[in-house]
Amino acid sequence: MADLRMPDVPLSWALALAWTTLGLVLLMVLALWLLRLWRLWQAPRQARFAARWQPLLLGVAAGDDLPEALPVLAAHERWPLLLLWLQLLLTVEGRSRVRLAALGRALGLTSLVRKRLESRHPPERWVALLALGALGDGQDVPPLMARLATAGPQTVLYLVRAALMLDPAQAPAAARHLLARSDLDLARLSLLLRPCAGPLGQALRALQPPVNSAKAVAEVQPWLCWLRLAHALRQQWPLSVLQPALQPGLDPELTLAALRLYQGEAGDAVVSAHAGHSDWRVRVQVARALGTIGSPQAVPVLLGLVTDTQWWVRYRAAQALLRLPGQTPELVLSRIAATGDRYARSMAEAVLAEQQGSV
Amino acid sequence: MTALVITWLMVGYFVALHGIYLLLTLLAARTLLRLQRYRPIEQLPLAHSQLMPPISVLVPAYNEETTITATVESLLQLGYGEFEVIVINDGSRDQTLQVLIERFGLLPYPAAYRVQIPTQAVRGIYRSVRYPALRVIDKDNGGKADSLNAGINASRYPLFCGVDADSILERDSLQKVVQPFLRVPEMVATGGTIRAANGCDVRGGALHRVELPRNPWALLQVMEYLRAFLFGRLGWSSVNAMLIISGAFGVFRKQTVMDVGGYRTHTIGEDMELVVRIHHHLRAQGKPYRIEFVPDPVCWTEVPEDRQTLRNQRIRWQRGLSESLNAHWGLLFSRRGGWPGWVAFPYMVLFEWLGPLVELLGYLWTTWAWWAGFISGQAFSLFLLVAVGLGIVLSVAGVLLEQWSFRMYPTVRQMLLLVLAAVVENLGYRQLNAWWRLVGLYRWARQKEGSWGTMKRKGNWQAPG
Repeated sequence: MADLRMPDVPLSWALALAWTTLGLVLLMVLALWLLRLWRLWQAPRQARFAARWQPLLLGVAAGDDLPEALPVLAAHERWPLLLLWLQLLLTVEGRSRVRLAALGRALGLTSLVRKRLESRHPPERWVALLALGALGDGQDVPPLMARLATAGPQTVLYLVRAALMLDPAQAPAAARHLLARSDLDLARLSLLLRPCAGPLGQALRALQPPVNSAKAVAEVQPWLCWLRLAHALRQQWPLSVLQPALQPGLDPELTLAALRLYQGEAGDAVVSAHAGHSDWRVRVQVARALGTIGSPQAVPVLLGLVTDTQWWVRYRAAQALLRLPGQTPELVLSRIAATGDRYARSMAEAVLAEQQGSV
Repeated sequence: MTALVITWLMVGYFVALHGIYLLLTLLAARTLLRLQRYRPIEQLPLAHSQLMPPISVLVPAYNEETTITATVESLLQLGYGEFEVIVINDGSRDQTLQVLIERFGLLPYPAAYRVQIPTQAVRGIYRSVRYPALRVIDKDNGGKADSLNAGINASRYPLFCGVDADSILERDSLQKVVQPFLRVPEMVATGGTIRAANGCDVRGGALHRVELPRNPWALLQVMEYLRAFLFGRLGWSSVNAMLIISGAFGVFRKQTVMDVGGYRTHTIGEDMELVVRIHHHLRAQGKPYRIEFVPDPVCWTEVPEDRQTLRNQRIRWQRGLSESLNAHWGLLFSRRGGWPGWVAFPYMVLFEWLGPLVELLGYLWTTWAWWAGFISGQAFSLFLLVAVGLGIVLSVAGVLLEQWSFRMYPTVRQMLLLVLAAVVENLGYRQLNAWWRLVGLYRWARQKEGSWGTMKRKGNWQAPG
């Protein structure tokens, strides 16, 4: 039996592990306790902070004059106040915004913001850039524009926003820079650059990529970037601007991007030319665009699209047909019934039920 | 000699297990630290982007009459640009459909339903007169996976989010869980944190107050969920090796799911099986992809409050795990397997799938060996300290991580209860769980048919709005 025995673990090992385990647990409980104490200590400070600053910020946003003597801003309150101030600033417009910006400057937030632009943590830099757009002045713009070349895909959006808020004349340079990048998050761009979509959109339109001798797209990629950027900035451009990208036989992504921007002036022939496109996403956009144009000549094309193999094409075509002027539901249903396609009929019935609001 | 080797193997197993947990904890802490820095910018009131991808929220429901209303109400209140809610009534035998019809004013709708993935017959489709974004599919019973497939067929948008019918999403959950899709074009799936809703105050589909449950079973699960999500998912996600996205709350790119054939209907753990299949499929094809865990968006769900229901749930989970792993052995150490094939899958096999067997054998063996005199009291204590003591350390670390990052349970009472649960969890509950999982393993080996698990719903954490 003796040779089966495990070599004995020294008691010191077991004790050491026991003490370590117990020690670690107690250490973590202590950390939890300290965390709690720290929060308890913070709570009245935060309450005092809110009581002192919130009424002032809200009052100024609501139209109060800036008080002659502002409360003293302690060093530890500067960053929280900047966040609070920015929260409010982003929810107001017009004169309230101007007054809040003046308050921010009077409180000395501008120097804090400029300092935080150098933070090594990107989120802090982004907060600073959002604030700088309201607090800064002309001298901040050149350094902001200079940073564009080396900035990451998210930072570049905050930089452009700040620069254009301070100086809309920088829009052409900013637009050129955005067009040159292929790594942008367009959803975030749409969100962040909404306040400067006007000047940026105008500048973008002036930067139309070249067309060839047949007035068609010369190179796909620049056009694609241009159209996608315009879509993200919610631009509405006339057919004459989009026409080079709507020539038959081009890259489907390009056609798709151009059709998304198309807002429904006359031109159903140009749009209808893509009704037989091999990419179903293009056909969806054709159906949507034809519905927006609202021309009776689109009926035969839409009747073709409502029998499409793709659900979304049938859905958008049925929506467009039922929206065309002079097309009663009965007339549309009878025309669709004449196609003999039961999927088309059931789609039209579903869309009709949605539009009539009965279900 | 054999006794000696086995004992040391057992000790080694637990050391390795806790070592991996520790590593995952450190990875999770690093990610949480990074997320803390992003909090100020995320809390700024920037409106939703119009270019956020629209989402179809799919809610499979089987006998959910007590909780379905609150769930749908919480979903309709989500702060998100464009989304639709599709409830799939999987042939419920209770009043689930009637409750929905009455509460949301549903009327039959001649929907153009397209069968992209075959499912059980659809009896009817309803649409709400009050909430145009809400549709209900009534279909023959076919299980949760079959219901999700029917939901995918009826969905209109490129992303879908599966949500359990007994769950409540926080208002900004969808917005947060979809962020990785905007950031990374190759993102195919994301999952959020699941927390136990038992004890919480839910009114009109919204969470009013977070509280710990009084029921001890539920309290222990609060601790368990906290550890599983904060350590496990977050840790694995940082190396793109997350093999599970909970069926209670996960967003998927619809095209990817359809490309791999939708949810597999003859499996219990359809959520895990789908994620493993996506890894397997995309890795085999050499396609770049990412699957990510987002710790911030929270889904609150009701957890079992009695031993029998909990036991059944754990048996079902273990069978689901067994099925998922066994359907994808090809991923293990495959040439293109990467972290999922070379690290996460072996971990799952060794510590999650075979874990209950080794753990219980370990306890039995060392106890016997000590009793029979093969090992000394010191050696037995060493084993217990490694197996149980380190488990307690890791569980308390989970509480600390939670309090530091999310502070969902801020009062002293809640904190002490969580620490107590972290200790008690390792002194009996974990061993009991291992036993149930062993039963699940045995039942899987016997190849018994799977179905919806029966869950005793109390729904007492909800109150009308």
